[in-house]
Amino acid sequence: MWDEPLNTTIDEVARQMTEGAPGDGAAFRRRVIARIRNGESPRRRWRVSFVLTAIAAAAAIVVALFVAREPRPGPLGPGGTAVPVSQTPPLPVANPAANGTALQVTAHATPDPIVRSPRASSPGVVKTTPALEPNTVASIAVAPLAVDTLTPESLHLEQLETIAPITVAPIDIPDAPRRNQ
Amino acid sequence: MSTVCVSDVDLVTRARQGDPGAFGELVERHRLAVYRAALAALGSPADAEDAAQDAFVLAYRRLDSFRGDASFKTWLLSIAWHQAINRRRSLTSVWRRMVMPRTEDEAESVLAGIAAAGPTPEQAAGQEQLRRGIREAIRALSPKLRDALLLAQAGEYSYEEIGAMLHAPLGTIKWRVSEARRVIRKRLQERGHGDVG
Repeated sequence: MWDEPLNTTIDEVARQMTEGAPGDGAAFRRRVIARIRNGESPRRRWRVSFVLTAIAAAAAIVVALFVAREPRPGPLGPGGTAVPVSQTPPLPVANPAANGTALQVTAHATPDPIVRSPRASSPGVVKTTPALEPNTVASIAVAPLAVDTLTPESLHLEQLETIAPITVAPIDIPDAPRRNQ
Repeated sequence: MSTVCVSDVDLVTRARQGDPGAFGELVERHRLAVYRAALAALGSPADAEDAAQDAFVLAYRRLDSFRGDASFKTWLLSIAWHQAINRRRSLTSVWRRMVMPRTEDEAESVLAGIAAAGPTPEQAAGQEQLRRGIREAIRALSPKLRDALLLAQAGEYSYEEIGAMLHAPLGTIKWRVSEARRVIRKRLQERGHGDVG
């Protein structure tokens, strides 16, 4: 049987797993005494780390949400100024019924009021960005939408019969006073 | 005043009266036992040292509750074990174990074992592989079996002291140690270590 020598090896490995000493004995003793004199709570240290971990995780989530919601800046134009990000692009829609022309989407060159510029709070920072030419998008001709008018059949409802009003008389209970007594 | 021949109970009495050196002597006497109990519970030397310090600080605050029913060491070990188990359950400890697996010290241990043991490199490597398998099997044990086995083999505690720490009768502790060995042997056989030994 090989149980006995294997048991011995198991015991040896278990002993090795609990071997060791807490560093320098005198230093350990000094640390304990110092903590007692400082009035430090025994569980305070890992509680603090637990709370800090939770706070850090919450802060990371808040930052991630903030970054995700922040609108992205547009491409930088000549001189380092950003090309305006058109929040509500003008879409001139020609009336198809009026002249039968196409729905036209045109890119416009007029600057939008919301323009991102380099921050004034960082005067020492000079950003060198390549000059980019503004985008030019040609007009797109879209065929007019033609929708046939629907003519639904009229609904026909039959008249309901009129019902005579129902009169309800109070019920007379002869022995009610006796029960109450 | 010399504290070499002074009993633990006398040191406790002097510590209660405000003698700062008396408790320091108690720390010196029992630091190894407290540290190894914490190490058995936590598996990490850094965590074990913190838990051992916590245990001594807490014991000092609770000195008045020590009635002398059991030995000071047993009383202290109960506090230490409780502290270590609390720490084991804490999120930070779990996180630390997840983030920092014990791969480096295991690799060093494997190399040291191969260098030190066995007449031939093949035998030494086989022996080290077996030991590594045992270590993994010990870690995979249920906490009750693992705690009992590690505390029993730490060489610092009697079965009575282990029983006081784990709040279990003597017979239960002995059974857990035996059962832990049986489970480990079974797992080793399943992994093909059956012909070793």
